[in-house]
Amino acid sequence: MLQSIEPSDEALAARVAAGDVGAFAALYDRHATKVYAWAAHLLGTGEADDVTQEVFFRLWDKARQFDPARGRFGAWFGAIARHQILARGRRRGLERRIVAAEEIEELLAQTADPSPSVELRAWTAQRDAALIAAVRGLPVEQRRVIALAYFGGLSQSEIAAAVAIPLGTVKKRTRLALAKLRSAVAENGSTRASAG
Amino acid sequence: MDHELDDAGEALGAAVAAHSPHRPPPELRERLLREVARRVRPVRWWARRSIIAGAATLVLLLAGPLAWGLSLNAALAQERSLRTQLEDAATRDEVVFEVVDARNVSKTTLRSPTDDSPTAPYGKVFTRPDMPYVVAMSGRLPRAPAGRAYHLYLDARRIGTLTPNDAGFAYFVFRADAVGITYQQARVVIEAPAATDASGATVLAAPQR
Repeated sequence: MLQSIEPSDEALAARVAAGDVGAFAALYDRHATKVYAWAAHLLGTGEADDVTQEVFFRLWDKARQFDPARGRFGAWFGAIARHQILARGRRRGLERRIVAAEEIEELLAQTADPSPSVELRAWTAQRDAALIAAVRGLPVEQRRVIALAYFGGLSQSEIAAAVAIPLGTVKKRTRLALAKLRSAVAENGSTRASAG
Repeated sequence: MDHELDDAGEALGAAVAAHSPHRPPPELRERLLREVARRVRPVRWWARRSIIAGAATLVLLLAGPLAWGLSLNAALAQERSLRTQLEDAATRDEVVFEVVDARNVSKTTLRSPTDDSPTAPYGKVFTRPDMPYVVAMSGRLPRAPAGRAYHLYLDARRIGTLTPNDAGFAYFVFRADAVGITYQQARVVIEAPAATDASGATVLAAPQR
């Protein structure tokens, strides 16, 4: 049978809250690579396993707390992942986080891998292509600041020191980059993408 | 700033997943699902009765919107299904994706004129105003009987043959003489392989534009 119905992340989260393991598996398939890849760059692949597992256990335990009226599943789940990954990253020290964030930033500047798995490519094409393009389309100095803040968990003062630019410039670049990314998410994020 | 970063995190996470060589190992998924399944507690009988009663009420209340939603989801699922099969079949034919993934793509959905069930065959025709290609594909199309073939016609012009695989999926790319292909009607006709006059039965069709 070719037909399958693909509910939104938000609908799946509601089912996870009701104890639906299938819905949990579907959310894992959609989001595990995001969590794992980030963790692997920051913490190494060994610890990436642990932290990915921890993030998804939290999803299972806290799914009832997700309220779609307050925001997208992607943002809510991203916050859980970010908290878990950066909590471990902070133990590695500021320097390691800067190196990892710079590493990720370099990756983001490249063209997407043309040969990921069929499932990932199909999903990516349906849902994430515009988001990825938005990240890649950021000016390099804005993308660098965002990568340090998001993936490295650096404060704006730490970024200013790491990149050797004034704090005001960090704030301006962050504001501009976030505005562009938020707009891309609003247009192409989980709710709409899952529905279309 | 954290909250603002989380709002943009969907894009950043997607970008890392697309670019990074790191992929979660399959055993991690299995381990997680096993553990989560273990945590599921059995539902007590009184809770089950409440759930069933609530669900029945909900079904009655939502029957209309749900039917609409399911039909929308089914259409979207069809497209994803086609897309996934296309990924398998056309990985070396990048022009297909240049057309199908383009922001300015024009898409026509073809449906069976006689079968509106969820398992009915369907098709899609994609064009771009700035490229000379037509990409056509089908899903759930049964194999054509011996001595017959599925031909796609755009208006009166036969532009290609759909030869379904075991899953009913077929696609082809047609290169026109010029960019900016336009048509009023698209349909798939089953007829003799050499026919060019759309004299057979229409299997899939799109409404006239």
